[in-house]
Amino acid sequence: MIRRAAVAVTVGFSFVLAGCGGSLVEPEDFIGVGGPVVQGTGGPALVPDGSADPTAGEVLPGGTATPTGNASSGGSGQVVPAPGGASSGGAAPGVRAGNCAGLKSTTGITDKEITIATIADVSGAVPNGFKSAFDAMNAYVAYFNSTSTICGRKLALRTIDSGLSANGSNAASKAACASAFAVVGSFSAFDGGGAEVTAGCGQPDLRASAVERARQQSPTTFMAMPMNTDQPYLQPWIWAKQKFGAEAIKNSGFVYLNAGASKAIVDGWMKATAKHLGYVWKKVILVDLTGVPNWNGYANQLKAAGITFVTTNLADFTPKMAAAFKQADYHPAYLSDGSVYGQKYLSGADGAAMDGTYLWTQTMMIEEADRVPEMARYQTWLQRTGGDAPSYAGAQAWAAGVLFTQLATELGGKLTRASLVQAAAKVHRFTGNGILPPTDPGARRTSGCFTIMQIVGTRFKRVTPFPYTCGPLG
Amino acid sequence: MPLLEVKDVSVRFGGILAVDRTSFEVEAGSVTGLIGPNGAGKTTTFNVITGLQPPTSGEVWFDGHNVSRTQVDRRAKLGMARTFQRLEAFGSLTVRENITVARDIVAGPRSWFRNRHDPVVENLVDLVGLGPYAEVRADLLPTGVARLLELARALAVEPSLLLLDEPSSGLDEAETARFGALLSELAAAGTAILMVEHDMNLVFSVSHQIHVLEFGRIIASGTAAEIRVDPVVQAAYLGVGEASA
Amino acid sequence: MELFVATTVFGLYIGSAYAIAASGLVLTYATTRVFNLAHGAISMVMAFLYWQLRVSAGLPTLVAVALVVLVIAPLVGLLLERIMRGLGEAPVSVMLVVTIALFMGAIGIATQVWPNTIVRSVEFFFGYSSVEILGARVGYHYLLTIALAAVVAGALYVLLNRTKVGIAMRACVDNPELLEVYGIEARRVSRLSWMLGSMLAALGGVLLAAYTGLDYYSLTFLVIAAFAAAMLGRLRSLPLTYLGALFLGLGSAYIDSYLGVSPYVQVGLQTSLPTFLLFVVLLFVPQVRLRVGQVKGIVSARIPSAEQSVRAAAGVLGLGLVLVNLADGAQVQDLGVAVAYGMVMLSMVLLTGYGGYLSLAQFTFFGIGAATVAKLDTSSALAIVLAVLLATLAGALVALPVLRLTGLYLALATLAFGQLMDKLVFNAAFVFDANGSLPVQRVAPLGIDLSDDRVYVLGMLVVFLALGLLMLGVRRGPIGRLLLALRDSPQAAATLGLSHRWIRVAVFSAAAGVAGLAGAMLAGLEEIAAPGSFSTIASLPAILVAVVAGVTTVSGAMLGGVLLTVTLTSTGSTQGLLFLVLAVGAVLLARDPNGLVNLAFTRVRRLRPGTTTPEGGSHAAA
Repeated sequence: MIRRAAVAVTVGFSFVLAGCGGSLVEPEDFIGVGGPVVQGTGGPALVPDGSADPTAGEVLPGGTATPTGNASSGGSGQVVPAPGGASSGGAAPGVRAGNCAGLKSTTGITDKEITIATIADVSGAVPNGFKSAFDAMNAYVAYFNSTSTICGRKLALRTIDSGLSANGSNAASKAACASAFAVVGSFSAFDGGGAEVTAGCGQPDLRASAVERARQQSPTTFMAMPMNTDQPYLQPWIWAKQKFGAEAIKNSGFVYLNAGASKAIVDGWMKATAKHLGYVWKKVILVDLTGVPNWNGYANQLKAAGITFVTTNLADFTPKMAAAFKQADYHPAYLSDGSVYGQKYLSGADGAAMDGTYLWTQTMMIEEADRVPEMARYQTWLQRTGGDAPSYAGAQAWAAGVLFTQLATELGGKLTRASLVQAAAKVHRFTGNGILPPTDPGARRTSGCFTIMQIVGTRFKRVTPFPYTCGPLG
Repeated sequence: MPLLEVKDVSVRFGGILAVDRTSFEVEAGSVTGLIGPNGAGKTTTFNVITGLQPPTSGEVWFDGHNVSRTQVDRRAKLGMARTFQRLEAFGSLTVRENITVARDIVAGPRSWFRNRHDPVVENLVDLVGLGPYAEVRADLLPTGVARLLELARALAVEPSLLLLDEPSSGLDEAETARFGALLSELAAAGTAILMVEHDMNLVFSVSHQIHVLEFGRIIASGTAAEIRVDPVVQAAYLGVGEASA
Repeated sequence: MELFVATTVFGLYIGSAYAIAASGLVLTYATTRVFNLAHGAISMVMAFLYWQLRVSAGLPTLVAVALVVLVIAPLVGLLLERIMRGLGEAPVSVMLVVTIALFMGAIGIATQVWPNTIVRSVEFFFGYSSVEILGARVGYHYLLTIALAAVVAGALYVLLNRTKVGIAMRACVDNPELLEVYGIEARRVSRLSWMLGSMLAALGGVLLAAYTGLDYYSLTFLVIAAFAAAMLGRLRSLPLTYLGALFLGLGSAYIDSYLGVSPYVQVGLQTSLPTFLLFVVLLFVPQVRLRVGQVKGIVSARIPSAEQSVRAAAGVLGLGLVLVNLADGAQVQDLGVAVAYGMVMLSMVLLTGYGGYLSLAQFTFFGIGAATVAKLDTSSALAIVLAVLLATLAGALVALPVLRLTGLYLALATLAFGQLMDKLVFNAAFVFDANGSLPVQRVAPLGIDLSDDRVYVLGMLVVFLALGLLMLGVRRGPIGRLLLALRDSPQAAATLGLSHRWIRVAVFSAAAGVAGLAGAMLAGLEEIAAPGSFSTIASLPAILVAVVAGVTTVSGAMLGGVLLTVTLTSTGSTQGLLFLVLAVGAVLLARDPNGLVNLAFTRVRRLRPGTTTPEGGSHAAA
């Protein structure tokens, strides 16, 4: 669809943009320590404001957590321990239900239903860009309705296509404002479009994540996987420095797509890693998909410039870059961002060229459903509701669903758009029942926790210890 | 001094020489006929004179000026007007509007902002006998009538040189006779006429001077009487021409 | 040295692929006078077919290539010849509309046959194997492409200079009638050239596909480089075309490797190089002679009287009032989009319907309007005035440098302009940044509150109707007559002393201004402006919709606005299907672009006794 998506410019772009979160540790605690911060899954989800300082006393000694155990919260005991597994009561797991008296019918709330909307890119130059957000929210609503209600009301989901364009996102935001109580689990590449609409409407926007600054900083927006372009995370490069050595990173190269949000994010990464970690970005290549990207040329330029470590942010085009490296007989240390975390990239024509390269993810690993119950639940319900393959974006949307139902359940009769926004602003420790490393949605603080993976054959293989490693922000 | 001088004009299309070092002159107040078989370069010569086709070499002089590099519309302003072998009437306009447009062009941009009445239009409609067709769209006209319209339209700009490209095709015998008379009147009034025509009777009856083209070259020139008896012309062309006429 | 060799080989590879594609373009243009805008789209479809045979059906590479290039492509060429027959003699706008229809139709077909649900790619010939040349690793695929380009060049040279049919092919660009004189059947030459052109498009596509990946748009748009190269050869000279193609390939590769500027500037230079070259070459194309023997009488729609027009406008306004009040929030927005697109259509009625010129960038002017109000960020109505002025000025800027040129070149200049704006302006940091967006304040003219969407949309409708009435007024007067005369036969108008140049600049600017107004007003409704919604590509379906709905009438513009809204807001394969339907409709209606609206009106009038209307008997000469 042309009106809502420019052509090639946006190809693959949407996949570049996920990768967000909030750090819980100070840099000194972890650089060089090597011991992972471990956060149990299925633990408490919410810490009300004032009762927890997310950066104090949060460092957990490595190796002490059990995946299904309760994690320490550092808070003041307001957290109800999770019962583990699906609850059968009227409240979501791990959440104290509020008094239901006084819940008023309003936009999106009737006696029987609460309508929430999910906005995501489905059509556009990259069809089904973030359809996994729709799938995940469909799955989550089905799961929630099968076990719970919010004050006797079932959830109804309205999915709105933002069409991979700012105009589409804007129109979708307007439609959501008029027809749904809240926006939940959204994921759009041009989410800056309509940020003012949602804020002006006072509509809570509990997103999977946000990409453009206008959306990230919108007063009613809270992200399950928070992202702040001005707070770049460093952990992947801390790992890379340890892995490849301080010498290798003195000759670093970055290849990335010329697309608004992606460009700003990468610029932030380069500045922060240069400042804090001593990276020297000797060769920076910007790829514009409206021309003919000269993959082999880039490989040769990097090789000629003596680049020993390469990071890319190229989404669908990562295999092409890897293939060009191979063809140029060039073998740098290669770390890709999380945009290439998906099985389909490995099975394409140049997928084999990525064998041996590294990449990161900010959610728990899709492949580790056996170790992370909430990941398993997401995938089970995804399958039951006929969704496509699970993905990191879907996991983040699912977590946003968890955030919404937990807050709504707690608010009970006091649930309004305004009270939900206020409550969300107080959440400073959130894991979506363990499908994510802990994040700080209330402060919109970029998550600093990661898993580094290596591509081995046609599989993604964990490199850093289970469940995740956290680091500082730049 | 002749009104029009074609000097040594050649036109090459790819590997083919369509007009080959052709020279001739047209005097004011005279009718000049240009005849020759299909593909002899007659229409191409017209295009060179009016500026629609730049010559590969050679020059065109009009009214004492070298117009070889002058734009089509500038040449028209100097006093050339033409009709086309393949009709170029403004098909979406009526007959009257076709002539009105020509008058609008002559009158210039200042007259373009409101409708006005121009008596010359009606005079021209009557002159060429288009009265019954005045309100008919030009693309619905029979070929012969459309040719008369092109003539009227060309006359609307009051040219000193009128180039007619096969003006009589599509006319019946009586119409052709009237047409010939009209040409003679125009010439008598001082207009120079250069005419490409296949109807030999018409050409011979009205032309003061005739040039015969073959393969882009003039193979003979002279009055009607001279051309009729020219052995070269007879061998090359007239035999065929008479047979098909 | 290693980098230099690698860069050079890559540049030669891309340049060779361009050259192969461009030579096909030149060949068909030279023999049939049809400038095939869909050349790249054919490459794209052929590349997908190659994928189908090679990857999906698992045929050996050589068999798959041979099937596509030597069997399917010539057959497609024959089909093209049938569709294009006679187009070379038709007005340029008709020719371009048909090729744009093919362009969009090819994309439509590709979205239907190969829905974008899986990642498709083909491997390089010889996989990753490469040879070392002066220290650089060079893929065999690149070397093969360079060699093939040389072979194609040699074969074309022999064909055009050493065979009878080839010499005839060269001659007939200037004067097709000569072919008959020299005893060669024109249709045979035309068939041969379409077959060859299609084969060259296919070969280019197959050679590039492994590199670019299979995508509906990227291969389709690569052909802009081929346009530039072909234009350097003045659409005739194959050697110059090759030179241009190699220059482009090498140029972008060297910029990539050696230009030591900021990556942002570098990527802008590299991607806009072909478009830039196209624009520059167009500036230096010598005076193009007017063509004789075109179709006449395209505008056959009846002109309503002033009184009738006003009554109809009042009726439409009443209908708008009802619709706006029945519609829900989202539907009101869609109505507003339809009105705005109706204004774009109106600009095309002036430009194409009356003027006979075709702009391939009408949505770029629309975008200039939207960008202006977004950057001004004020609720003053002056923002809209300024938006219209800027768009008008941009229209003049496009039309002025190509003052000497006729239809095709003008259309290509607009295409180049649109692309340059997309790449260098709209995506620049000082406007929207790459794919960014800006909020827009809604105007409050003279303190009138338009914050209610319904009121605003009605306001847009009033503006649309006022423009429509103005246009009908122009159509009824001397200027309308002059425009139609120029359109029907520019050469006859010229021989009467009318220069089309300044009139064209005026018409072009006015149409650009109207499109800019539409963009500014829609941005105000949506309260956002983003370059994705006015990229050049949106202008192409707009042209098809205009032709199908009726590009010669104001009522056609109204229907067009609605159709275009449906087309551009639909998604995925539905949109592809709409492209296909529009393409077929445009091919059928291109020669009578009065469109559906006029068909409907004439039907109705015919049913009513007592009223007679002259039938629009306008048909292509061929």
